[in-house]
Amino acid sequence: MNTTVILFLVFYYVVVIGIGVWSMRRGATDDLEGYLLGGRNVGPLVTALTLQSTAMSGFMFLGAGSLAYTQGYWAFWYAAGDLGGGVLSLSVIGRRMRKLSRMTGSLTAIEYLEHRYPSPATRMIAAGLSVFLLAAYVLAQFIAGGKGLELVTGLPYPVALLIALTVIIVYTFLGGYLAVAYTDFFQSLIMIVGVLWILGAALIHVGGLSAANAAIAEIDPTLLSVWGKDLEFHGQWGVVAGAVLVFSIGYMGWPHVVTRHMAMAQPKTARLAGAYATAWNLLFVSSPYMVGVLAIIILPNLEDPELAIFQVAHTLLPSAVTGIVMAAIMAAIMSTADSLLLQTGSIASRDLYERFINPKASDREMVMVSRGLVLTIGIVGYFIALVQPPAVFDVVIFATSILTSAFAPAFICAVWWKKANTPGAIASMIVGSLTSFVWEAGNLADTTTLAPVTVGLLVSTLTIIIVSLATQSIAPVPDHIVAAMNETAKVGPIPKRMLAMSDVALSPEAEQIESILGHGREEP
Amino acid sequence: MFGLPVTTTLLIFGFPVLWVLYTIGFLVVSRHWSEKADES
Amino acid sequence: MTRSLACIQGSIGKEQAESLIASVSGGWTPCAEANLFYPYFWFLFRCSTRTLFGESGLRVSCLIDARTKAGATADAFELEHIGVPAGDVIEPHLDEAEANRLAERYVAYVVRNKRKALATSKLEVLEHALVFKPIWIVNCSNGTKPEFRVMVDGITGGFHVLQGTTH
Repeated sequence: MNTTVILFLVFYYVVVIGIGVWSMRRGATDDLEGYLLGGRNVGPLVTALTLQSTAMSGFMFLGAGSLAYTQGYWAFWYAAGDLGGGVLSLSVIGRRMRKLSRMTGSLTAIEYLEHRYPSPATRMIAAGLSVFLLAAYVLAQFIAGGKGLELVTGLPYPVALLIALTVIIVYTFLGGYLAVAYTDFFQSLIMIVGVLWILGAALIHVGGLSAANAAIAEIDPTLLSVWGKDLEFHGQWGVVAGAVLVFSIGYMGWPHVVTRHMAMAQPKTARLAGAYATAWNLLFVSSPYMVGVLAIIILPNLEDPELAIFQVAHTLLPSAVTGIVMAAIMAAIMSTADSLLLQTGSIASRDLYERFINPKASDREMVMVSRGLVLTIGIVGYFIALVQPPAVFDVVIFATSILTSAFAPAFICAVWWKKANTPGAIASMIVGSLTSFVWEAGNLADTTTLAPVTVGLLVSTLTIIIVSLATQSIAPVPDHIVAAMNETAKVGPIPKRMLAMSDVALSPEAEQIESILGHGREEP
Repeated sequence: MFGLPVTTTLLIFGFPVLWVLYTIGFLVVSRHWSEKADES
Repeated sequence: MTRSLACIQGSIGKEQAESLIASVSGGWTPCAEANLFYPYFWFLFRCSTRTLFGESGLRVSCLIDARTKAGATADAFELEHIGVPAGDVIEPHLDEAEANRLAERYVAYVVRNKRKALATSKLEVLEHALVFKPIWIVNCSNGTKPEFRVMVDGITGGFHVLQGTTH
């Protein structure tokens, strides 16, 4: 392969590791927040950028590109949902879920589900589903990493795959230096510049967007439509809805983990980070799709559409830039895979092992369980990726559809509907996941023109409503949950503004104080 | 625009505009909320 | 009767608490009627993890809510030893040993998440104490409507309306 590319690829990693080591040394005596320079010390712009690195994954670079390359502008339906998923999730469940997590003392999304819908079954089903689905996402990253490495180094796919997989797992076990805000920030920056450079170079190469579209029209005018190649999806609103919903609602099926930190000074607002994140998203999310479309004319006979974006970069960028950008992309894939494996391992150890098998598990044991699972995913994933590698796009949509169908109603109703009870949530998760799985496995979208996520979401939403209402009397929502959900109820005289400005983080203390003041100051 | 059918142009540019408006709306509505940057 | 406490040093005094509430309540008259002290078990850990490049040591401050058992990491803070009326002290519902166990679990979990690495950390307790956070209970009245109470965090100035305390 091109030695310049590889040279700069290696150079990039040296720089990143250097930054990591430097910031480690610098922060050697700092406290946790200082060392990682995450959160409050760095300002909203950097925070927003560091959050972007999980969005930049194998799906972006292989999946989005390949869909746009094969189906033209139809792919933008997916971008449409992806653009808004983050802010939608934040605005709909963000604050309320944070409050309820604090009140229930939940540290993970799954623990939170069990606290809100009390029952061991909730935990077991949610944990089981999550481990399986997140493992699927990881598989997508393995494939993306393997293919990327194969392209850049020229190594045969099985070898490239093994290397990518090994690097990911080693990084997950030993990470540390690379997981600091500065490196995330640096990588995000390189990637945004890189993606925009690729897009820019592509546009210049084809002589502008209008010229490009004219050229595409010569090849196949249906690619310019919103209905896909040969107008395959024409009028199929159920499939279109699926494309938009899968990412927009999808974010709510997988909320972030919340950890608690007590500041010792007046808190600064972080809402600006949300605004910046939307701005980055706008720049970033649509670009891979656009590059994929342009690739139709730049590289008309690609063997593997998944490599559309990589190949465009290779063809148009100077070798040095290609090396750096490819390196950044590979690092992003690795970082995404690491986050996913960490979550999966954590669920296996906390929500399954500690919860059901050994409640007195030590931290060491939990790490062993997590590592065991990661290795298992690595081994199984390697064989699947080798023998019958699914398309990155297909795996991600499959996993996201089931995740969304299974969890979105449960998470949304957890904070918005006081009648959503345990049987309702459990039924909803089971029905949602089964329905979307069957729809997907049976390719029922073709015959019914309804995407798996459209049907799954519909069915799981109806289920949580019907079952909750039907079982209200035998399984009411516990009083302490209802009380925790009451943000504004029965507080007639209190100015709404004060309630809105209340610090959610103080809710648990407030509840304690309320009960103390209610019973008199002293208690045993 | 850009030699694209109207529907396609709407798809590409309409949704981003929609989400920007939504985000602005959200920021306005939640301006009194106290937010802490303590999530990971 | 007074008790001697290790209290987290905060900058929000009685007048500040009242003016804070006055500025957001628009038309209500705030009056700080009590200064309570909320208990936490504090642990300062030295956390060493083995990474690709050797061992790294970090200091992590952890507060375990002595009533709800909730864990949280914390910024560095100063302690002051003060005497307060015994009736203003909120008693812990945990013992130190259990709090220690909870703190270790919590810190290990947080560090693992922040580092994004599946590795165990060695935790060594450098310092520990039962500490208290000063809280102001501010009563709001406006002459006509029922009064209500708000708690004000004596460190951050954050506040939380207290439900069920209208009278």
